[in-house]
Amino acid sequence: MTVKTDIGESSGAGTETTIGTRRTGIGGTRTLADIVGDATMGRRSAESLREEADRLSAGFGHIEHDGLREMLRHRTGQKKKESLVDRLNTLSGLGFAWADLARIFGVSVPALRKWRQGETAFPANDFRVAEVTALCEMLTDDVPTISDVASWLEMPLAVESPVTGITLLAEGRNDLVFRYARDGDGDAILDEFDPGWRERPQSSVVVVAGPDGLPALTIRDR
Amino acid sequence: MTEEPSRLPNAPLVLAVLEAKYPELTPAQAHASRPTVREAVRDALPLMENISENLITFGPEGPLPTQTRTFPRFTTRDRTTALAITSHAAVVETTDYDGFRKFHQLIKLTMKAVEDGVSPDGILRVGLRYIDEIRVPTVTELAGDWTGYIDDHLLAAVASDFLAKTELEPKAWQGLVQYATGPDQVLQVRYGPQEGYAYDPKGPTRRKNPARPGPFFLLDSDSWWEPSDEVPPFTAEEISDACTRLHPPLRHIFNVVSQDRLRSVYMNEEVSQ
Repeated sequence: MTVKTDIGESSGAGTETTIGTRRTGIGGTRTLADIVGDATMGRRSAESLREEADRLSAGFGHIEHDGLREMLRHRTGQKKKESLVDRLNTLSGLGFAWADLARIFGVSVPALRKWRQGETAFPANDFRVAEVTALCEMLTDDVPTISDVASWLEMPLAVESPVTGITLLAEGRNDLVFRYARDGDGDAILDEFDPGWRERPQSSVVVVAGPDGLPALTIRDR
Repeated sequence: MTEEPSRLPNAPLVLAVLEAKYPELTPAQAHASRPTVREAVRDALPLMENISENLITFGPEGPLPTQTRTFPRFTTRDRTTALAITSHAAVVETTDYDGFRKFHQLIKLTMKAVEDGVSPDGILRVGLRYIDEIRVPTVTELAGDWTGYIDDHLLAAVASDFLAKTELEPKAWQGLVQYATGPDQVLQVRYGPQEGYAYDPKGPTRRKNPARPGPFFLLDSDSWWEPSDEVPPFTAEEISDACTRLHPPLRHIFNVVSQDRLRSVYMNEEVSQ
C-alpha cells in the first residue's frame, strides 16, 4: 500500500492511496472545503506553473537574443563587402523612404543623397548602413509574417504611441526590433523602451512658432 | 458503547457530509435549478451564496486561462449546515450534527430539491463521511498514549511490546483500512493521532465553539456506494435508501474503536490530571 499524506498535521483531503489493486481516494467523499480548497490549490499551482513558464521563456529569450546578435554580426560582415551605394539601393528597394533612412542613420537627407552619389560615409555610419541592411534582410527572410519590412517598421507599436520600428532603429535598439518581430507585443516593447509612454502625450505632432511667427505644426522629436 | 455520538455532551464528531455525485451538469441545468432549489430548501437553509469552482486546463504550452464557474450554496443563518450544488455533485454537510435521524431528514429534503430542480442524469456515487476529532485531556502530545481510549488494534504500531522489538521511538503515525460492507459498498477508515484540527474551523461550513487546537485522535470514516453495473436515476428516494445502508457501518466502527474510558470524555466527566 502506498500512502501520500500529511502525518501529524491534518490535511483534509487531496491525498491518494492504492490499496491492493484498486486505486482509491482517501476521504473519497469530498467536503466543501475539499472542493474550494482544491480549486484554490489548483489555481495557485497554475499560477506557479505560469510563473515558471515565464522564467523559462525569459531564459530562452536570452539564448535566442544572443543567437540573433551573432547572426546579425555575421550578416553585417557580409554586407560590408558590398558598396555603400548598393546597400542603400537594397534598402530603397525594400520600400524605405529616404527621410526614414536619414532618421535611422542620424543624418540629414542631403547627406544621404551624397552617399547615394558615391561619397563615402564615416566608418560608424558605414557600419550602421551595413547592419540595418542585414537586419532588414533577416526580417524579410526569416519572419514569415513580415511581407513588407519597410511598412512593418513604419507602423506604430501601439495605437496610443507614435513610436515605430523606425524609432527603435534610430535609437540603436536592434534587440527590441527582433523581439517585436518575434512576439508582436508592442506594449511590452514600449514598456521597456519608454516606461513613461502611457502617461506622456502621444501625439507626434506639436505646435511651434513658424518662421513667420505664426503657429506651425511639426513632428515631435522623441 | 452504543450511544449515538451526537447526543453526547462532548461529542467528537466535527463534520458530517453527504456527497451525491452525478454526471456533469450542463450550464443550463445548473443555472435553471437555482430558483427551484432555493424555494424548496428556504425554510431549512434560508441563505444562498455563490462559491467559485475553477476549471484548470493544461495544454502543451502549460496552463491555459482558467474558467471560473460559480455554484450556489444554501446555508443556515449560522452557516453550520450547508447544501452546495456543483457541476459534479450535491454536497450536504453540517458541523452541528444532532443525530442521524435529523441529518437523514435534511438529506431527503435537499436531495428532493436537487431531483426536482436540477434533474441530474443519474447517480454515480453516494458517500457518507463522518470526521471525528477525539480529544482526551490527559493526552497532550502527538505521539501520546491512547491506551484505554482507543481500541488496541488501532494502536498496534506503537504498542510497547512492538516498540521493544523495533527499538524505535514513534513520532507520528496514521493508518488506513477499507472494508467491504455490501455490494458496491465500502467503508474506509483513516485513523491516527493528529495535531490542530481535522476540519478547519475557518472552513466554508462554520464550526461553533471549536476546541482549542492540540493533539487529537482522528477517526475519519467514509462509507460509500458506487454502483458498478448501471447508473441509476437520480432520485431522492434512491439516495435516502443508500444513506440508510451507509450509516450503520459508520456508527458501528465508532462504537468499536471507542473504549470505555472515552465514555467519560464524551460525557465531559474526565478532567486533566
